[in-house]
This record gives sequence, C-alpha cells and structure tokens, in this order.
Amino acid sequence: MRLAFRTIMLLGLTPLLGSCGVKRLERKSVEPARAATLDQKSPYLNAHLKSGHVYVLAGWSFDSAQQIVTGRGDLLDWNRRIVATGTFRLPIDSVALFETNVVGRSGSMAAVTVMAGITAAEENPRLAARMLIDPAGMLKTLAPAYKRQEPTMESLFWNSRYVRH
Amino acid sequence: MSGIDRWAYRLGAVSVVLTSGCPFNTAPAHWLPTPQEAGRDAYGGWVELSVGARAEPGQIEGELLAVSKDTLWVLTTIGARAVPTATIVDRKLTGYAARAGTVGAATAAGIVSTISNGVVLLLTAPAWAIVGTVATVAQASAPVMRRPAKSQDWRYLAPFARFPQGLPPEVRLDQIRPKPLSLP
Repeated sequence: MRLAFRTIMLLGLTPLLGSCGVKRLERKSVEPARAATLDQKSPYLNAHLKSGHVYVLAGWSFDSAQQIVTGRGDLLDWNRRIVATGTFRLPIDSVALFETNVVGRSGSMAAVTVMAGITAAEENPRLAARMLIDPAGMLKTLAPAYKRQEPTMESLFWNSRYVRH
Repeated sequence: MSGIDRWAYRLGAVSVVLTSGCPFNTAPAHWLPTPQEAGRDAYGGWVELSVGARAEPGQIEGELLAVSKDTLWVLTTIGARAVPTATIVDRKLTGYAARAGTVGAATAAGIVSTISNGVVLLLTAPAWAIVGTVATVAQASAPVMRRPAKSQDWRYLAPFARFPQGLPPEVRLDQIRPKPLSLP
C-alpha cells in the first residue's frame, strides 16, 4: 500500500514537471552584421525594424551569400497588430536587430527528477532504518560483505548503468 | 497517522512557505509568455521600478518598451512613461513565466511521498526539502534579468523590451496599446 502510494507520487512528478512547461529560455539579440551567428535552434526569428515593426518568422533561413533572411510568418506594427502575413525575403540591411529564442531544459526540473529517481530506485528502507538505529552493528555486518565485494567493484562500477550509455 | 508522518507533512508545508519567498512578479495572471510562447510574443517583459528618494520610493510597473543609456520607457496601466535611470533606486525585469510554482508543488509532493519511507524519511524528507527549495528558487530566478557585474549600462535589459533596437522615432507614446490579456 505504502509502496504503491510512493510510486504513484514519484512517477507523477516527472510528467507533471515536463508537461507544465517548466523550461528555461535563452534570448539573444544579434546585430545584422553578425547574422551568420544567428542560433539555428531558434524556432522563430524576430527581425526588428528601425520603424518599430517586427517580422516574426517560422521556418527561417539565412543566405550568407546574398545576405538575405527568408521565412514565413507575420509582419507586426509597433502596436503589434498584424500588417501582413506570408513568406518574406528580408535584406539584412533593412533590419535593425535580430532576436532568437531557444527553449532549454530546466536544471530545476532535472534536480527534482533526479531526487524522485533516487528515492524510487535506490531506497532500501529496512537497511537504512537499521543504519539509523544501530550504526555500529550495521557496520560490523557490512564490513565483511564489503571485503568480499571489493575485488569486483572496479569492473562493477565501469559496467554499471551510471557509466554505460 | 504517526508522528513521523506528521513531520513529513509539516516539512512539506515549510517547503511551500520557504518557496513562497521566491522572486515572483506583479505581472497580471497569464500576462507573461511561457518560454515556449516567448519566441513569437513580440511584447516586452514586465518591469518593476522603485523611483525617487531611497527612503520613500514610488513604484512604477508595466511592460518594458525600450531602453537607452539614460532612460527606460514603461507602458503602465495609465499610459507610457519615460523614466530617467538616474531616478531608479531598484528594478526588476521578468522576461517570461518560469512556472516555479510547479517545481514548488512537486517538491511538496515529493516530501509528502516520503511518508512511505517510514523512519528513513528523517533522511529523505530533508533531502527533498533542500534540493526542492533550491530548485524552486533557481527556477523563479531564471527569467529575472541580472545586471552584468561592474556594468552601469541599463541596456542589458533591452533584449526583453518591446523595442530592443531602441525607441523608434515613429512611435507615438500616447497611442501605444498594451498587450491584450488572453486567458487560457
């Protein structure tokens, strides 16, 4: 009963965090002269014009030979109303600033997921409780067991799931 | 419920209280985009400024429109304002919705789940509380823009302004419209 309760709780955490958008964002502003450094992992490219208008382009690409950005999306005015929609080809000298946004994994989510995994996979409540109640007696039991295992530990470690990919 | 189980519930509650001190923001609910939405959201981040005398600062908050070397333009509920940086005593810019509350809720759930560990929760519950609290605070802090060390230039805020290229001359501040609120 208790094991089922814990398993449900722990297994619920990972999809909970994953599906609720617990992510991090890396935003970069790039001058047109450095357009070759635009982060290709960004699903959208925002091209800000000097007038305050902005192109929000999906499926975008940069042609370094012609110095042109191509993509489909919307042109928005400075009040962010849609002015035009379609496929656009922009000479980079018409752009004031490019913006890319890349969504990445959250370190916070990873930490909580690892905690859930460790608790669920590695826990041995009986031995841990004995360690708390009778540490000296527990060490007397563990020391010979450790000595028996010691010669194989090196290969055990390198073949463990923590090393294997 | 045993005393140990009650202890786990209390630790979960303490964790919720601790993480409630995270750097949350005053933006209206659902105003900030999620990281996934931010790429196609062409509005600025949410800025909170304390201005005036350090003893009795006034508060200005709203969408960050643009940044120059000596001025921040903010769209408040009563219209756009130009704020000289010299008058700002404290500031916070939040670029997107971090969903730190979800990490906090997961931490509380993780702590409560250690009830099933029996006496071992004396080890696992504090570990959950420490890791979870640090993770929640880190997640809440992620979208808050930090000034680079030793820099006095306010333009580090520009990437999360509506006009990161600077305030365009064509823009009429008295005609600029706020971001429409869309409820999920």
